[in-house]
Amino acid sequence: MNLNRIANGDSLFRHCIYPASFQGQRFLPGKFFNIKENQEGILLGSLAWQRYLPTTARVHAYGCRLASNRNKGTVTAKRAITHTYRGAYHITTDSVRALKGTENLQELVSADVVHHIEQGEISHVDLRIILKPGVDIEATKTAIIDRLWNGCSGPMLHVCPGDSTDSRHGAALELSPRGAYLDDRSRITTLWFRIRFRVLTWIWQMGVFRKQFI
Amino acid sequence: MLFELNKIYIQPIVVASDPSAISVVKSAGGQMQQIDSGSSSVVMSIPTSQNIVLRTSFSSVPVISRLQAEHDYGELGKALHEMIELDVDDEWRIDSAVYDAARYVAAELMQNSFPPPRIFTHGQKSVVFNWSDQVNNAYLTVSSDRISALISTPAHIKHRVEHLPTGMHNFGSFLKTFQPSDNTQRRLSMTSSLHDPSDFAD
Repeated sequence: MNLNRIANGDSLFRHCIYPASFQGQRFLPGKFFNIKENQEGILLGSLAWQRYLPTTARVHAYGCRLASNRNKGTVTAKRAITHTYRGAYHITTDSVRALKGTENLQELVSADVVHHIEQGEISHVDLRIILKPGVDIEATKTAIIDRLWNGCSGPMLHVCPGDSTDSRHGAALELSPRGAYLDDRSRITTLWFRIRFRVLTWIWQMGVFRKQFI
Repeated sequence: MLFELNKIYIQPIVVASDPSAISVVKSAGGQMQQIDSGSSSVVMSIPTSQNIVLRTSFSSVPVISRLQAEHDYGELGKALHEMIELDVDDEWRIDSAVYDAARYVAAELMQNSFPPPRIFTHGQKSVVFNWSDQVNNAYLTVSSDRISALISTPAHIKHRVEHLPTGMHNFGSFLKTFQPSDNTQRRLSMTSSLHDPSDFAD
């Protein structure tokens, strides 16, 4: 069994952290995916894999940890930033891999999601997009972000324990073009997801995964 | 949100003590209805229900909308200026060359009566102007040396156009290709969303 391979059709989540995806209190879909270029010229983003977040509670717990980690050491010289998790959007691996070959988006060599444990989070996934040489990277990023946003469902709103209960909290997220996310897994499927998560996480904690990913 | 009327239906109403005595007769041309109230011999001619398309907004609205747009563009200009003063590692920081280009583009947009856009960045090398409604999205990606336009729907990317000006002085000509077609009412909106971006000409 290839534990790294993310199958077509698998569910992924993108977590929305305030203020990164916002302008003031206004949610910006264009800032939501935060695609960055690494030193090799590859466009990278972050997602979370449902295989290791088998329940909605675990999806939100991941988001809360994400915001909490960002709050450690984020005070800049000019302002203090408090990151809060607002909710998550759902997207499938198909939507990501379909970027390559999308009409009017011919700059891509490849678009894929790769399992990559990061900062102790087993569910972390890299969004990796390789562009052809010589293309307009900025305009291509806009097109990619547009397609990714239009492939999302949600949001799944959440308030982390200890966060403000301000009435605006969570209300600023925008309904995605695909509408609300519906978890249509059967009870048996969900049970299997939970069991598999327990087994895989146990294996990982036993060190087997660490050897595979080093 | 500005709620714009574009159709009015005229609904005739008759109040009578004896509704059964009322008869409605259409004229030969079908344009008018005649109501005969029987014994009282009261005859009233009223137009049939018809659609009246209002092709222009009330005269006061464009004035208010333009003032609002100028205010919003002023705020946008302030936001752009703040973005060049942010810390180097701030996600919203932009280069001064990008700021110059974005400011010029914003001025042209206002000059051409575009509703004020939302803005975001990919990093320091570009600013993106964005308009969207429930169906369509439009983007202008402004870098220091080029501008790219994109129009999309949830299903696909409809158009992508790139403008590589030698200097930004001929951007206005490029923007004219991005304007609504002649048969579409062009108006300023109180909101920052486009009502019908698909009307943009290629």
